[in-house]
Amino acid sequence: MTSLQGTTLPAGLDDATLQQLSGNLTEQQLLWISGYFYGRYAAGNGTASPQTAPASTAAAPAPATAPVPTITVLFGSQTGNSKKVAKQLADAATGRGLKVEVKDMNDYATRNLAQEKLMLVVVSTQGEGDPPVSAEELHQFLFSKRAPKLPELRYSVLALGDKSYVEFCKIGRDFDERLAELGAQRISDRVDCDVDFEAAAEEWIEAVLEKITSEFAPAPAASAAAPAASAPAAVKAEPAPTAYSRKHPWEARVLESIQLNGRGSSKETYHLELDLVGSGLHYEPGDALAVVPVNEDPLVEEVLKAARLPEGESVNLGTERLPLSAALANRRELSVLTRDVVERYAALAPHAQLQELLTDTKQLQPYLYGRDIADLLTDFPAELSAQTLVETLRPLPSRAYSIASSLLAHPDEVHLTVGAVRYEAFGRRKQGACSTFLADRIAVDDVVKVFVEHNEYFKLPQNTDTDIIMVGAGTGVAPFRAFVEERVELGAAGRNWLLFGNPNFTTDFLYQTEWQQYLKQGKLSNLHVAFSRDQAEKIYVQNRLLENSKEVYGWLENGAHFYVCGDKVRLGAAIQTALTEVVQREGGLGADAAADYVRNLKKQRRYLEDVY
Amino acid sequence: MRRSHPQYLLRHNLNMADTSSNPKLSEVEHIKTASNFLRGTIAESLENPITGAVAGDDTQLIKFHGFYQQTDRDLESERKRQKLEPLYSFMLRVRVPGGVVNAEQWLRMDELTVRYGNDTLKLTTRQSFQIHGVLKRDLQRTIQGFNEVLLDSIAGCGDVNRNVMCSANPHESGVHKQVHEVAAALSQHFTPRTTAYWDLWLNGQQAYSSALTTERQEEHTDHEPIYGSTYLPRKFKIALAVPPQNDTDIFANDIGLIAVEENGKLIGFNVAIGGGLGMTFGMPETYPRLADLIGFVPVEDTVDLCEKIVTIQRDWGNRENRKFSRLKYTIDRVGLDTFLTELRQRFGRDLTPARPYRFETSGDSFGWSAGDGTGKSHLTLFIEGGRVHDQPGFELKTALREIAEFHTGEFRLTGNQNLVLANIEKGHQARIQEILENRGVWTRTQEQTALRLHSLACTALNTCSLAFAEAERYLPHLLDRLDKVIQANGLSDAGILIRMTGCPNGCARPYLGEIGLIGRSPGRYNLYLGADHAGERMNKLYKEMVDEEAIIRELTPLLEAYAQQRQPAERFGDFVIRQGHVKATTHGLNFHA
Repeated sequence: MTSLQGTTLPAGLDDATLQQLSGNLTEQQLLWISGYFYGRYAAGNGTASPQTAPASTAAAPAPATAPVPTITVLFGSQTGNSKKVAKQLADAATGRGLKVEVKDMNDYATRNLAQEKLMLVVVSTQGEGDPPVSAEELHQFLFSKRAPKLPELRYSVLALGDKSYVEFCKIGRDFDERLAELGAQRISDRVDCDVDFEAAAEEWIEAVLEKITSEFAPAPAASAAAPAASAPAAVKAEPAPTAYSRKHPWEARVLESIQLNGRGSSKETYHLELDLVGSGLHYEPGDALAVVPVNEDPLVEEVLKAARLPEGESVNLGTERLPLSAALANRRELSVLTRDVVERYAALAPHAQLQELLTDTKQLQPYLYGRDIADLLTDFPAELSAQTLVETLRPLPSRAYSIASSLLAHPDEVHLTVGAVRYEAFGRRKQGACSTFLADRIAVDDVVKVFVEHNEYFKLPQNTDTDIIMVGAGTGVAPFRAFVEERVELGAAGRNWLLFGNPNFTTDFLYQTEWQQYLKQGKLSNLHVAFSRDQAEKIYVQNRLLENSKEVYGWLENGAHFYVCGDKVRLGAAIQTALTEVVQREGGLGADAAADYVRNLKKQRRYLEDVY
Repeated sequence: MRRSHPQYLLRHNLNMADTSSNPKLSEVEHIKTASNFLRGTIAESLENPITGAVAGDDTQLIKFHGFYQQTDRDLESERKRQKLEPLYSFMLRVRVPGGVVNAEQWLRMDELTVRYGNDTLKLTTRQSFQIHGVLKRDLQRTIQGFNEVLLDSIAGCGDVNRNVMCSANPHESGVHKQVHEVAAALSQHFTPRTTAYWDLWLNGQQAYSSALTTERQEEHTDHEPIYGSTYLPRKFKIALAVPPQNDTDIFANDIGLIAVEENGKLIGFNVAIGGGLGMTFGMPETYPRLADLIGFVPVEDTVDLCEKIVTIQRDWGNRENRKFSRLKYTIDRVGLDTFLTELRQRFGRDLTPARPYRFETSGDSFGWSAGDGTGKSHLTLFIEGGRVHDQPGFELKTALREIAEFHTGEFRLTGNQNLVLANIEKGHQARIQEILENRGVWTRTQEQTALRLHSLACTALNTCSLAFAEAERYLPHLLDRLDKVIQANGLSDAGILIRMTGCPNGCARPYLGEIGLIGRSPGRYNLYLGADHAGERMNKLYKEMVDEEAIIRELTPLLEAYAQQRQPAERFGDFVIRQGHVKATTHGLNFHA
């Protein structure tokens, strides 16, 4: 970048700005960008064909001043929500004439961090406070000694999370606080979003862009209509979003509901088939279907009893007025007790012990576990009006289930595999709100409110020749039924290998006859099963993985994608450990190198998890 | 002269090793040929964790090892909907030559049904044990479990000689012990020699079991001196009886041996051949048949004679259509004379004429009986349907387990699915009586109408794949209703043989029932009448496709008439013939007439 010396620069563009804009670019990138800007200019003025070869116009002058530095939008996504918001942010910014670059944390080169001027971070938190896989590395880097000071950086963080977890939005908080520690300055305060993040995200986007445009000079109108700039390696086109959402769910008729476990099983798993005819609803294998549940009557009664409120009383929810019992049954979370509810409730019910719980996470977590709203109201009685009660409780969230079918195999249908959750805790019979809603309270021909939650990453390989290894335990087999159905319909040449685990062979071999059929037809190359309680010693899928280490490693070396679905705590970690051991053993690697190998699989999105 | 036989007979000889060149052979023959002495792919089948079943061909071969693959037919459609394969399990048939086991063996069988079966022990109509509901993964452990107490299941089923039966009531005859020894010798002699049984189930170890002789331990390669590599064309059955008891129904067997004694000593047997009760509905060319008496054989020649009969059947039996493979069809096809000529040639001598004998009953007599003067006694218990199990208020299985803990005598399984506690020590009698009463067993096993005490039922639904209708699960209910008729007519002590099966294959020997009920479809049976009381005449079809109401409606007037018009000591089966309700069946060939 020496040829600019002596060139007459347009007003507002000086050497420093140019240097800032182009400092990190390779020659190829420079060349590309010069053409790109010319194209943009031409499109804005309508004076030149956008098809003009970029190289031939490389020397054309930059058309406008660039008073606002390019905004780097950095997202860390697990299921695709953060990515969706990032995209939305980029569109809004472009609409305001701002320049943005959307980058996936997974692909972000940490050495660029020091050069960033304006950065907007959208990141989710997984489970008990973990970063999404794609954000792991950056998160780690920021907290390491190698993290640079960032006095030049201005930023804001949007955190996605789930309030039902104690470590709500922890990763967003980490980014926010750490960037500040490193000397960066907030443009606007972090916003923490619960599962229904859309409205809060929109507000944050508006607020942060407003701040940016008001602090920096507005960009020329010429670029307003231009598309968002994005790095070559960045985001690919997303499937058109479904019109259905929590607010506007599709009312799906139940076509079939089958208890999959044989008699005498310790498990209770249901196979549901829902009708999509007329919905236009689209999903892909790996996506989840969100179901809007209705709370069971006995629980509503328990809550009313514990709150000492009559069911007939009316309450306001937004502009709606409805009976308290209906509000509790259809609109409020009752079966899961979360920190936010306890916080709001504590403000109304002055119990010293409750305050103490809130100040001590170590105590709070065990308190929340297994308790529901009725327990809270019983343990810490308070005089609440019906209206205050519904305002204290959180909206009833939908529950997402991994889809168990392929649209290619079952056009206009969506299938789910649902494990009914029932247990006894603190003197009362407890039930999973949605699983027992599906198991007990709806029948064939009833209607269920649903919408699709796309899972960006838990997807089949683009290349149908790629082999896949699927590890599923219990209802975790659901997405793999969808995977295999899809690959069979597509005539995919890649081999399919399923490892499945559950307690007992005779009763819990979910979709047994289908797998047998696939195996017979050669559509499933390998099928390994682990039935933990069929013998004296417990055997799990991870044992099968190790028993077949040579073949597993062979498949991985051959480019196979590796999928895990099931319980996060019991399965996710065990499989990662087992796979690392497989790599160590078969690849002749040390423990660290094997861990790197597995980490790299994750980074390449060849090791994908759908754990819960 | 054998060469004078029609050509088609000669096709089925032992040396037809290359079965692949004979496309007419039945599928099972091909499977046997390719099985390498009954191995097939059983080892692979056992290791396949994806299914509870064994491979198709192996389902034939496992029979030779003593078990059948079954499914719970009650759950069939339910599991299909659940996307689960049928609930496969295995019925293991444990051989007990002559039905005699000791207390340790009884306890082990009891324990195995708890650990691997459905907690019931079935006493069969051939004096063997059946454990039901064993899962594939538990087969080896189960077989090892009874092998340790010297019981085995090889040849429990399959195209070989099955469990050898012998009169079970030890108090009836002083020669019983000697007859049992012959039964044991026959059982041993006809046990397959293949080492596949040890390889597959006992970790290849030729540990001692009742299925292993010293002679066999010395053999290094598989060789079947009697059967050859393709075994018999079909199952083969041998039974021995000590008159006047015909509790083993010897005429229903391929070979029936009637003990002949002289001065309290066993001298030999009257030999009957060609019995067999299976038939197929809608195929009148299939029929049940009683064995023909062919002469007398001295004790010492008995095993040899039986071997020669077996080898003729091996060479001449039909291997193309299994419906006509039993010895009875071989004999009727070539004619008894031709068969006997061949037998004489192979045996090398003539049989002398049969000695006089007299059978009185094929049923058991129940309750306590004195022993042979040693102070010991015997107790025969009625076991309904042969099923040893516990129910609330009727803890039969527990009671027998408690008795086995101290009983020093034997447990004898009868051919009528009942149980004799034999050689009970004097000091144990009161204790046994007390246990049976406390466990609610005494009234259920002893204080019943003679009709019920003479009832037999096969397993049928829900596990037998051949069953068209219920039997074991249903007969007690039908008897509740018939008992009312019996009691109303003062017939509570009239022993009438009533036998029910779920299909026409004959497991509970329904054709020898004075009242025979054979399942046609769920809830419907063919009603047969007119067998004698001693297993020497088969019954005849009286009414087709009758349901419960029709059974009661048909039998009530006959029983009423029997109560009023019977002659002294006249049996029900004889009465209905005398009254002309059915014609007497005099031979299998006129069973359908």
